[in-house]
Amino acid sequence: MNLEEIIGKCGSLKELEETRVKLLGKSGEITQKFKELKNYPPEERKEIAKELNQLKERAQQLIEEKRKVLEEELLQKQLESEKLDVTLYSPRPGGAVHPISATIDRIVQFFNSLNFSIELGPVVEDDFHNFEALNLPKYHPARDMQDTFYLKDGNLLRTHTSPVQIHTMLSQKPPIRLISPGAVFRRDYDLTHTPMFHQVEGLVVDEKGKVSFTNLKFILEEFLRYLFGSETKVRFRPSFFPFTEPSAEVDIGCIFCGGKGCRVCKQTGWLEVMGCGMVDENVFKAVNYENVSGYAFGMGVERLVMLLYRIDDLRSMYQGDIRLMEQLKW
Amino acid sequence: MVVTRKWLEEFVDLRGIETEEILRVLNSIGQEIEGYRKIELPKKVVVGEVIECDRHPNAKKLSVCKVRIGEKREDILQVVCGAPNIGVGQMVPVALPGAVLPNGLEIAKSSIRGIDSLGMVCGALELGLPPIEEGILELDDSLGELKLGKEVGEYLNDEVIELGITPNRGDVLSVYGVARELATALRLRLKPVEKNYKELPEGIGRVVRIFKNEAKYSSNLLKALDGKIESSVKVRLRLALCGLEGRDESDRVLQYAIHATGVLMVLSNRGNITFKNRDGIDIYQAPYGEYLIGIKNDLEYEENGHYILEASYVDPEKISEIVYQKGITDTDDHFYRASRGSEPHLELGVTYFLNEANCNVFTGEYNLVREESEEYRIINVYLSDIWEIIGYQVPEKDVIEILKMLGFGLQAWGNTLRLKIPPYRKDIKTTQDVAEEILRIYGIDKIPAVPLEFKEKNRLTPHFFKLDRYRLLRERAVAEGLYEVVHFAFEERERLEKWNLPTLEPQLDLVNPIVSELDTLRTTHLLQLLDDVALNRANGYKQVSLFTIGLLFDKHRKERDQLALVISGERDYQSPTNSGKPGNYTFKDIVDKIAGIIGEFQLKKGSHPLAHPYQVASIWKNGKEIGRLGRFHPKVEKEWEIGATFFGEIELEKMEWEIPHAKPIIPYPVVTRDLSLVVDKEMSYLEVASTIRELGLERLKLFYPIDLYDLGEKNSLTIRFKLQDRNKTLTEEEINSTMEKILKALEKKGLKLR
Repeated sequence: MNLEEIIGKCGSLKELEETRVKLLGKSGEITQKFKELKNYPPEERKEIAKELNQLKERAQQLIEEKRKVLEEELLQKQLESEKLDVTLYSPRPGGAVHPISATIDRIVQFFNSLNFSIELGPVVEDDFHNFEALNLPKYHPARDMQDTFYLKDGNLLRTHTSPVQIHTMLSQKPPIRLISPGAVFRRDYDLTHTPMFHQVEGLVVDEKGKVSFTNLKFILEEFLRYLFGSETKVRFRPSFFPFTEPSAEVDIGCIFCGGKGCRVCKQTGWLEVMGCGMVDENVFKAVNYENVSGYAFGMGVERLVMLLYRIDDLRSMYQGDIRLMEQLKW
Repeated sequence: MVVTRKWLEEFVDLRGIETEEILRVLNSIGQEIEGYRKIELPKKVVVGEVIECDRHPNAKKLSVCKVRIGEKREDILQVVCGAPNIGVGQMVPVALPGAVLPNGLEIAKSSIRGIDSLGMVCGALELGLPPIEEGILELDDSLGELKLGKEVGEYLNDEVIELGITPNRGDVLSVYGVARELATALRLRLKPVEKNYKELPEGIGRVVRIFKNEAKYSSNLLKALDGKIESSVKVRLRLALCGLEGRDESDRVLQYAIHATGVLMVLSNRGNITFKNRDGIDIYQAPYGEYLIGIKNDLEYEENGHYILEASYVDPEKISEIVYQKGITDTDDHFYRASRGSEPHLELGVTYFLNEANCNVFTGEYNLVREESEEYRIINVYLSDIWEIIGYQVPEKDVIEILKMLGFGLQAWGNTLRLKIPPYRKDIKTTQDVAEEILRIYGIDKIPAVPLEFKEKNRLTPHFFKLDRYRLLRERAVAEGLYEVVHFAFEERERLEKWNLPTLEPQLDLVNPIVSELDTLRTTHLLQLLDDVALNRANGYKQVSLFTIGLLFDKHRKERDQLALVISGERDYQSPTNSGKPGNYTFKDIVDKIAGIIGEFQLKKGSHPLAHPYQVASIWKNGKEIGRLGRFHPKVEKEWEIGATFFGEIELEKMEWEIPHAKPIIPYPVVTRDLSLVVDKEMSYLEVASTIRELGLERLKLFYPIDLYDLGEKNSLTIRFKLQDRNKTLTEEEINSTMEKILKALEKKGLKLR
């Protein structure tokens, strides 16, 4: 009996089962042969039985092997029948964090990791916190009346995040190490101004003589290289703010032209990104701080967003326009 | 502040210094460069003299001129000219054949109506200059000695530099002031302004009388002059390049001198002049009007050839304070300069004006200069304090040199510096002011960047956690496929009222809104989100899913943060899976989106001014109402033309943020049983669920509705129950007993098993 041939030619699991029954079933050929054993003389039976057992084992083994082969073939066929053009399924997910919040998050992350606290304040402020205490007396030329949104009860919408400095210093003792992100308001609405925008403010105060301009230089250089890349060039330009002195504006090497001069940097090779300075002693006087030194800095978030994300229209950020937002998915 | 290089050179010798270096230096000392442009005239345009001028035989409006551009015979050119103001004796720019004008016109020999023309007499605009004159540009000696045939560019080329002057530096609001800064930084000397005008034998007392009563704050210097004042080409050109203009000839020269020197000056006609003090403001009474020193210059006068020139100075802080206190709002450039600190050296301005005015001046002057405006103030500072502020020991010799270059008188005893501050630097009062001067001139780039040493401290404030949670919510909202949007915290009051939304109490509202659409503070995000939905739907987006986290106000103007979201249109993107028809968002989708962001919550019947009255719910979490969700009212959807749109609002300060606590996992099986019930149409699922919950069945792990359909008068509701015991596998008997209890309770409420 050529088992290999009989089992080998089975083309399906069904045929294989039929063959198994034919060989090993109740009346299968091999089973039959076992039944016939009793016809042999006892001295031969042992030998024949041994052979039959080998035959049976062999048949079982071959059938089992064949079954595996056929099952595998069947699985392959099934898999083939389930074939998909996976390339049809490239996803088009919606959803993106707004670049203003994403950028504020990044800024917060940097300063948090350097042990700055987060302080937030109200947007409705009074004259003292927004101006007076920040060395902007009522008739100061830097205080442009036209720029401020006033409220009928004499309050105003804060024009910068700096009032948070005052709130914090009035309620906490030095040392202070804070940043304060938030919305601010100025009465200006054109191509490059929106009546609301976002700032992040920073303030560090410690004992007199401890905090210096060189410290300010260090932290802002580190920060701007974190934000714009480790190769970023940083420049400090002397400037003026009523609440700091000495004051400076901080520029980075133009990220569009690499400093050669282009439309965005107005051919200067530099982009202004921040303002900073040593806290003016009049600010400390307004909050009754004595024998302290400190620095402060501030930045406009929208400006940074426009540079980081290459958004050229400020106002587009406030229009809830998916044509912009869908480009900003991660 | 706009200056030109040639104008600067009147005050400081810049020969051999590239303009690029000048710009760099100004920037580095805090005089920010905001613009730069070169005025470069075309080549082959030369100085010519009109020696003959006749009417063109064939054209009324043209003239045929002979123009001399050199001494030789062949240097006389015939030119046809269309300008009406051309005349014999004028010195004019002549474009020769080969010259290319800025508008692209190339000059060539030509014939105009039968007459040969060998060049073109040019006007200012044609040469690329501001249009300071109609017709041709007549040159004069104000530009330097005119030589026939010389390139006009040599007289007129210049470079325009635009600076942003900070409000503390009124002393730099003039060409002279910029030159002074430049001289300090480049360690150069300023050139003096020499007196260069004619004086009459008569004295000023013959024409002016002055009464001065307690003029408290101002210094004044008066001169009387006679004769017509005319502006030169240089004056007109430079004014135009700096974006300035005068009302008339004399005003042009006046503006020019003010811009050049920073000294405030006015001109008035001859007459009796009195100074009176009224409410602390110095008032100059002139025959034709009232001039408030340092506030405005709107004197009306006739150009009759007799003038009083008055220069004045007033303390900047004083004038600012007075103007603020008096509530004066109609100020002009005079106040701008005065409040930032105009130039107190009055004679400088007067001399500069008279040099340019080219008229007769009566001898003498009325000099009412108050001492303090001319005085040097003395302040003492410690060098060690300056070093402390900067954080770096700028070498003493550099400190001393810088202070001297700034014009500060200086005496040093060891650590103490006794400084004499010149009158034009009103801004220098304290050690910090001096440190700033040292730092800006020494150069911030020359000091090191040094990390600050400080004591570490736990600085994780509640604000930190708040921002961190918002970040988490944003990320979850984005994972739900929503785009974040940001809007101004303003709204339109009329629109809020129209939709019955809360508005600020009127006495708390804005005084000076910027546009009527933003005339109040917002009390909802939803109107702005609806605008966005409409915009994006109009732009062809079939699916619009947006959220925002931001500030809202209540009617008492109390601030709070709210998360709001809207979903509109198709619930998925179009793909082969849905054959391009994903179906539209439904009520369930807004519920699921919100759950994806804030986790589990319960819904109760709710209301919202903008909502469909029967598809709106309040959101409850941890026993607190934290927001609302629903579909917009069809009227709203119609107004914005957006189709079915759903919204949600979550009050962020009502959200609780606690770490969830886990219970041990029960190893016994969960059994599922369904009950189909007949319920009243008016009965909410919440009522059914509460009835079941009130039983407090320990073995009832979870239940939820799985089917609802209409039986006509009543509804059929199927609820699925999951049962489990903490300590053992439930027996059939125990299961039935629990289900029996539930059914009984429900039957009491009028529900029946179907």
